[in-house]
Amino acid sequence: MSVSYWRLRDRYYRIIGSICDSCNYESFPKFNTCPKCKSHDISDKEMPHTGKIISYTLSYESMPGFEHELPMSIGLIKLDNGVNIVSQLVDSEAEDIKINANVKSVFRKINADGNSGQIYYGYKFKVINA
Amino acid sequence: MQTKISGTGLTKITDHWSKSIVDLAIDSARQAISESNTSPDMIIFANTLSSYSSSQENLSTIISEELGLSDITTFKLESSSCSGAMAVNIGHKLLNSDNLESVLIIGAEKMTDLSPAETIKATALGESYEYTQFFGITMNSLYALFSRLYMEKYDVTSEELSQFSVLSHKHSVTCKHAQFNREFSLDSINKSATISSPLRMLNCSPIGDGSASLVLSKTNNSNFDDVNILSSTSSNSSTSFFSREDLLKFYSTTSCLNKSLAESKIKLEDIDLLEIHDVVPAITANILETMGFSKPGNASSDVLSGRYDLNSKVTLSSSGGLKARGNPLSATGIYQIIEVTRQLQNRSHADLENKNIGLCHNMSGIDSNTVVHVLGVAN
Repeated sequence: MSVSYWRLRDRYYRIIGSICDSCNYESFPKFNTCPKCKSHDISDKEMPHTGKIISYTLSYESMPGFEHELPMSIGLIKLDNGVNIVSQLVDSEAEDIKINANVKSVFRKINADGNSGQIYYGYKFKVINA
Repeated sequence: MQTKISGTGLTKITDHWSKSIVDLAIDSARQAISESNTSPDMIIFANTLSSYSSSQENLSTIISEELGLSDITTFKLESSSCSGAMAVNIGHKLLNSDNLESVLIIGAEKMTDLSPAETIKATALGESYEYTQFFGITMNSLYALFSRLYMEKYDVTSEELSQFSVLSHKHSVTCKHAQFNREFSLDSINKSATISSPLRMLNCSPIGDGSASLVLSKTNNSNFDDVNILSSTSSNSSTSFFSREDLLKFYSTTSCLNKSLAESKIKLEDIDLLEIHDVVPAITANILETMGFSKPGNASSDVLSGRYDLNSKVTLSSSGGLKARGNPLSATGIYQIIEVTRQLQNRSHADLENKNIGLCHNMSGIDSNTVVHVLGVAN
């Protein structure tokens, strides 16, 4: 995974999505063809690091390497620019994880290649109480 | 010219510890070839996990060899969970445009050779690696996020949505090839372990091995009544449901349904049998409401009132659907078509009367790629 991670690190560290230079449509994930106007004139765009929860779940099953995260809180978040992102929710009390809760991104370890391999970092989100 | 379904074959969906993916594929394919009384000109093998679960590719060639079929065209088709129906869609198109007499479609999935954690990853391989798998986001978590959106919009509870799980298990009781042959009460479903809230274990489609095969042909040499493919349509949308403008809108399903009704020249009310991608209750409800069988937000109450029972006007998932028959990914779409075919030929486990038209809906992800078939007995 190390090469693909290196290639994507900026996206994971700073939440880099895309903006269409023709119609200003923004999205995360990135895109090569604008889903709105089909333009190929696309630029990188850093997404806002704050938003609101629009759906959430508490997962009791894990993929390999994520066992220690269980149960894993996951949120569907509408960022301040209207773009949706799915992310793990951390550092938040269970009762605070609800629809319309305000959240902000935090920089966290995502996974690692065993005990002595590469460590992968990226975004997670936490609830911020108003 | 219409494509005829001239042969069907399937294995029970279960933990086939003693059988490989090739063994399973051969089992269902031989049944289908035998029923059809033909030798296929082409084999399309539908599968999505073999690299991961069996460390094997080039399976279409291996299976053809094991079937004793050489000097024909054979290839694998991968399209995540709708690989099976997509293979039928492509087989149908090729049969109608090429110098072919018959095409064998084999769908097979070996899911139980993996560890539990690997199996969970396997079911998410069709979602974006970079944006979901990398972060450990499971498929059931995505279904759960969708489910809560549905519940919020229509003010429906997860307990009410579990009516779909009750129905699926009720329908699979007498279906011998179904993974589960038992009923579950609403209470036991709503008290089963949480997988990814609000989804409980008995809301989620299970893990199982299985294979289903069909022979499509221009003439029907089998001993059973003609069943024709009246329409075969497919449509793709965005891979990630959360990047859509309307998160609850199933764009691909809508497009497939419209194209299917136009191509088959049937009306929605003509459909007697429904096989849809009923992978978790909120997805099932949204498909039924998207297609117009239930009003928005009403599908779970329609289940309770008996609208989708075995002997109702529109029977839903007469062998239990993805939840109770089982969901061996790439074989699922073919199990659906076999269920409708055998119902129309009056040789299925449930003796349903006055059924003439069936619709099969198979999708990958959350409506990211969808295939719809309409089947009917010959006039």
